[in-house]
Formats: sequence, C-alpha cells, structure tokens
Amino acid sequence: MDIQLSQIIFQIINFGVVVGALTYFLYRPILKILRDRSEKIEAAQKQAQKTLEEKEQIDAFKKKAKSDAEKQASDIIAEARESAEEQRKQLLSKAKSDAKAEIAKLKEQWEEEKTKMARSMQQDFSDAVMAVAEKVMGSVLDKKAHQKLIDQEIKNLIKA
Amino acid sequence: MKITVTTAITLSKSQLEALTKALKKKYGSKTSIETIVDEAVIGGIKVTAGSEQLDGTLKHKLNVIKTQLHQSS
Repeated sequence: MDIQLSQIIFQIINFGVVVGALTYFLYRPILKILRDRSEKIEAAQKQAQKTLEEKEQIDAFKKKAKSDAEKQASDIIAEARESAEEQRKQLLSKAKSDAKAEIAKLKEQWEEEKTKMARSMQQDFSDAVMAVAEKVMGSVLDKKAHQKLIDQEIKNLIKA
Repeated sequence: MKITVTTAITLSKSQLEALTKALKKKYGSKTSIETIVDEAVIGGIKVTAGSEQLDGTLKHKLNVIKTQLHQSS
C-alpha cells in the first residue's frame, strides 16, 4: 500500500472542509442554542430570585399586619377593660351615694314618724286625761261648789 | 238684745238678779236674758250676747288646757 501525497492533501482538504462545514452548520447553532438556554436559565433564576424576594416581602408584610392587628386588638381590649373599670367605679359610686341618700331619707322618715307617733300618743294621753278630768269634775262638784263657781264668774263679769 | 246664759245647774234667785243687773249695765236696759241648763259645761257660767261670748265654764277651761297640751306636744 502506497502513501500518496496527493491523497493525503486531498484528505486534509477534505477534512478541513468537513470541519469547516461542521463548525458552520453544527457547532455555531449548538453554541447559540446553549447560549440562549443559558440566558433563559439565568433569566428564570433571576425571576425565581425576584419571586422569592417578593414572597419574603409579602411574608414580612403579612407578619407586620398580623403584629399590628394583634397590637390593635390588645389596645382595644385594654381600652375596653379600662372603660369597663371606670364605668364599674362610677356605678358603684352612684349606687353607694344612692344607698346613702336612701338610708338618710328613711332615717328622716322614721324620725318624722316617731315624732308624729309620740305627738299623737301625747295628744291621745292628754285627751284621755281631760276626759277623765271632765268626768271626775262632773261627779265631784256638788251644788255648793257649783254655786261658788257661778258666783265667782258673776263677780268677774261685774268687774269686766 | 237677747243674751243666753248657760250653766250646769239652775241659777239661784240672787245669782239671776245679780247677773241681770250686771248684764243690763253692760248691754243696756232692753236686754232680755234666757237661761239654759246644760250639764255638758260641767261648772261655771257661759254668757252669749250676739257674736260676743264670755265663757267661764269648766268645760271651756279644760278645753283651753287641752289645746295648750296639744300645742306643746
């Protein structure tokens, strides 16, 4: 088997053409496809990162909103408790004051009633005493005593 | 003028005379006197001349005392 130079040169040229053709028709499009794919992946990664950051922001916002709502609820409850306590104190104070006034009023009524009853008893007693006195005088006075009383009154009348 | 004299027992003649004299002196000679016996006055004498009344009965005196007792209580 003879090695011919022309054959070798032909083969080299042939190989160079094949390499050139492969480079032009295959390597460069593949390289472009790989570059595009790489760019797409990079864009997707960026998008994912952005989405992640947005999610974190949303989470932080939700956490803050929840914290704010809890604080607000806590404030409202504290305010309501304070208001209820104030109202309770006011009601208690009013009830005490009303009870005091009612007791004073009842005491006054009782005193009045007591005085009225004592006065009534005194009057009843004096009426009874006078009734007895009338009866006793009526039965005790004899004619002589009657005459004496009348004489005395006539003397008074004459003097007047 | 008509005068009413109320007593618990009947007036004696001398009492009636003395009374008539005194009343005529006070109210005039044309005065007529009516006597009434009422045991309710208890004792003493009550003279009523029109709207004027001279009450010297024991009943009246007891009533005065009763009123004073009521007022003081």
